Amino acid sequence: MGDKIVSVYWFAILFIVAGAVVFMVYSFYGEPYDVRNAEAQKLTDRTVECFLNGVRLDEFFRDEGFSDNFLENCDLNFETEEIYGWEKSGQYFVSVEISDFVSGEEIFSHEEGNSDLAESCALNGRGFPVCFSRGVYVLDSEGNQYKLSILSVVRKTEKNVN
Amino acid sequence: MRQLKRANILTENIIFIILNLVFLSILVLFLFSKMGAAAVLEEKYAKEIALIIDSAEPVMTVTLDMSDAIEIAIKEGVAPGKIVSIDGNVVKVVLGGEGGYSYSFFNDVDVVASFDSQNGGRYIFFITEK
Repeated sequence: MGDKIVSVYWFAILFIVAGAVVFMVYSFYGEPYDVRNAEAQKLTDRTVECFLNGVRLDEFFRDEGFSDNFLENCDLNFETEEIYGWEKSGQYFVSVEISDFVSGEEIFSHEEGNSDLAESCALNGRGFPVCFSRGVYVLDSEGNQYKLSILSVVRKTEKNVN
Repeated sequence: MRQLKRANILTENIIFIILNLVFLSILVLFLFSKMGAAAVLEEKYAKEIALIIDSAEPVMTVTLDMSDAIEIAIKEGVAPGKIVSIDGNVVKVVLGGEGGYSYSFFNDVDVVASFDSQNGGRYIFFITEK
C-alpha cells in the first residue's frame, strides 16, 4: 500500500517536472532570435566605411547630389520583405553628422530612412527599435581633423521579439 | 507463498522502472524534436545568411555548413537546391511545407545562393557588386 502511494507521488513529481520542461522549451524556442543589435552595428560600420577612403575622410560627400542618392552611394538598400506593413513604414534609419573636431562646427548632416525610429532610442525595452551610435575621429587628405557621428536604428520588432 | 510475493515485488519494480524510462525518453525526444525543428532552423539560417551578406564585400564567396537543415529538408521532401532562395534583398529559407522564413539584408549587393552538390551539406553564396 505504502509503495503505491510513493509511486503516485513519484508520478505526480514526474508530471510536474515534465510540465516545467515543456514550458521552458516553449518559452526558449518560441522566442525569436534577436539579431537587430548585430544589424545596427553592421549598418553603422558600413556607413562609416562609406565616408572613408582607406583611413582618410573621403571628400565625395561634398559632391552635389550625394545626399539625394545616399543609399546608392553607400551601397545600402532599406527595402524589406512585404510583411506586417514594413514596406510602408521603413525599418531602418541612419543619421550621419560630420563636424570639425576642433571648432565643433557642423560640416555635413544627413538622415536616411524612417526618422520616427530615432525617437525611441531614449526608451528602454525589448519591444523598441535597437539603436547603435558611434563617433569616429578622422583626418582628411590634408590632415584636418573631423568627427564623424553615426546613429543607426533597426526596428524589425515583429520578427525579433515576441 | 514467500516466493510469489518476491516475484510480485520484482514485477512491480520492473514495470515502475520501465514506465519511468518511457516517460523520460518521451521528454528527451520532445526536447530534441524542438531543438531541431524545421521552423527554428529556418529562422536561424535566414537570419544568419542575412547577417553574413550584410558583413560581406563584393566580390566574395561564402560557404555555409547547413547539413542539419538539409537533412530535415530532404525528410520533408524539399530539394536541397531549393532550400535557400534570394529575391532582391530578401533571404528565404524553406525546410518544410509552410512557406519558409524570410529576412531582409541592407547590403546592396547581388547574391547567388547555390547548393554545393559535390560536398553535400553546404551552401555557397556568391556576392557580387550590383
